Amino acid sequence: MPSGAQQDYTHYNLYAQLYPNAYQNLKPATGKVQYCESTFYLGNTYQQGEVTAYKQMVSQLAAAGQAQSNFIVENSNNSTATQVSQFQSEIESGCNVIFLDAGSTTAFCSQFTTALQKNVIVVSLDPVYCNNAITVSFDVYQNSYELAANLYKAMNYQGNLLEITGVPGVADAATATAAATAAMQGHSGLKVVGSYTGEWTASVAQQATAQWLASHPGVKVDGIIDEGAMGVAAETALQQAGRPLAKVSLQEGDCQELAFQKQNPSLVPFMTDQAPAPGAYATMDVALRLLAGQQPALDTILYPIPGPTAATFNQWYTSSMTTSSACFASPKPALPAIASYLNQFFTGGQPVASFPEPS
Amino acid sequence: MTDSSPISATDGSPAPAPTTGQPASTSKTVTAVIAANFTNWLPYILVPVLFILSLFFISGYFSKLSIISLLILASLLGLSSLGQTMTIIAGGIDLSIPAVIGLSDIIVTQLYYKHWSLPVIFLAIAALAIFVGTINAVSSVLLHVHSLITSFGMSLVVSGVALEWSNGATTGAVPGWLTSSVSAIGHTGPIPIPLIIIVWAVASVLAVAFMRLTRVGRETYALGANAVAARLATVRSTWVLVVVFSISALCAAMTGVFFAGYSGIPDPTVGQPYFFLTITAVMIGGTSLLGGRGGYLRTVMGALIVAELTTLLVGVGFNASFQELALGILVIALTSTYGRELKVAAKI
Repeated sequence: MPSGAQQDYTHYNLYAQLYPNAYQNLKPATGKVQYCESTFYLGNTYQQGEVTAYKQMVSQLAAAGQAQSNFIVENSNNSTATQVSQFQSEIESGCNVIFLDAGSTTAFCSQFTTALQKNVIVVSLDPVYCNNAITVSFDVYQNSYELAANLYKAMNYQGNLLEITGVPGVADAATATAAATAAMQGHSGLKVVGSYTGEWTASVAQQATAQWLASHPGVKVDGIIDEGAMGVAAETALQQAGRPLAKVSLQEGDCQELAFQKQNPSLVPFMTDQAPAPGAYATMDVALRLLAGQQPALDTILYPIPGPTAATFNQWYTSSMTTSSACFASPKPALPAIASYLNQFFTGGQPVASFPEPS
Repeated sequence: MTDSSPISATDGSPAPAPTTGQPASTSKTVTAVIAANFTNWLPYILVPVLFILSLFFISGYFSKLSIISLLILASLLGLSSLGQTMTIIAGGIDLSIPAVIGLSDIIVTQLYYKHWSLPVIFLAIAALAIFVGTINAVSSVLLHVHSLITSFGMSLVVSGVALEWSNGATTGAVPGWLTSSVSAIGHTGPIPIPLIIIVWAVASVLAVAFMRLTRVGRETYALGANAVAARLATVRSTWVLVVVFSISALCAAMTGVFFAGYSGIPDPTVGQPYFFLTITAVMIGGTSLLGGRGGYLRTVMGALIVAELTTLLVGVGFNASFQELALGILVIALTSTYGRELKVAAKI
């Protein structure tokens, strides 16, 4: 592991499993590369933002004669079995690079072997517990821990918390909950008074919060543990119920979160940018390096999550953003750091001819 | 053929006791009549019972904000279930409701953000809803397939349109009054009650009156009770289906507009929880899934029961999985109770 990346792997074993690089003998595609994506998630805003980012980058590569102009996307609508079938189909149908939003950490292992035999590069956006693919992600455990720890600190380690969790059964959701719980250790003044799923969907989180508030009329809420894209929705539910707003760490980096932070700076102690475009950019960057014959140091690359600070907030925020916005901030402020960070993981091969960027 | 037709001619009124027969069988029949009337009244009894239970288990539950919050959640479900009740009484089912809710949410947030005038947006949504409802009904008639299939197909089409329209990186906006209309602290003019509750109350009265007093309403019951007999009795079956499916889509669209005010952002999946919840509210209320029996007043009770039960379970600390488990048990228990009807001989 590169020495400059070790601090980003502090808790890797709570999130991912590391294997050696499997691409030493890869014979990468030449000419116009066919890029594809296999995703587990229904077309929610995040997923659509991700596809949009990939399409933008593929379009730029196609204009440079380095890619087929069509970007093939298969969506399994939350079915792992369907996704495995679709993924296999993409391998067989001529995809050279497949970006994988996996619904399972283990279900794709035999397909990874098939893909490698066919010189198909598989770049996973989530951890997978087997070799023969490459994972490019940030450490969800570490990020969730820092979000929670900063929230608790801002609350002076005192008060009532609402915990809003992601999709039940999905590894990232369990990881985020475990991290938030771990960060609470030793702080007996904090109490989780309500814990429920918002399924990483604002409308679900808002209804669940409204339901919780209706059934707990006398319970004060001081902080919200948002485990993904649900914090502002919960704040809206508080507002609509006539309750005071609560402190919250926000992690999505979407427009409504940035607008909420702008309006309520004292309520948001910490923010990160998990927007889809920087993640898509990081995976595309790695795919291009592999196509150029560069070799990664290992099969799981965890990059530090970008995010606005008080000093850089205005690089993300624009005045057109509102708490009703469902867009994502421009990824531009996040991209240079990601690109330079990834350099240390690769050796050999040719330099990449052109790095496309999502806008 | 009206609201509680298994036993009585009007909603909830007791059936007449039989006047003939042997004493022993009379006794049995009286018991059966009492049992049947009890099940007939069950949803109306459950609403206050659950409320009292909540008062007992949830501290501070009897506050204006808590009750209004509960009624807002019930209103969203109740409005989206209004048309579902009619389609089920007509012998069909509408599975396109969640998709129409999502599309309506997208349309209002997107177009208002682009400075379209609200009347134009609402007209466009209404026209689209009537189009969807008409296609649901006509395709079911022309293709000779149950509306379960045609409305499910339409659901996929409408969802696809909503997803394509929203297309990820989008921004939406809603007027402040729409947000206030679904807020527990919202007002409707001088009345300190949010608009959605008043809309639901008015829609409920209109729906009950429509089903009881209009020709189309009575034809809906006839069609659901026996489609063949209804046609022989010159019931306008295609027209009835067009009307009830259009009402269903309009109610779903209205729910989508309120959802837009509720969350303020475009979300094509906002209606997904209502895929089963609308059917649950109808079933818990006691409207038969086989068609021909029931009524919207019962669905109002069903929506209130779902909202109360969920709030109670959340209040005592049960998680989402247990809430679904409890709702499932309630559906099975109530529908098995509703199935215990009087024999034909006892009704005469």
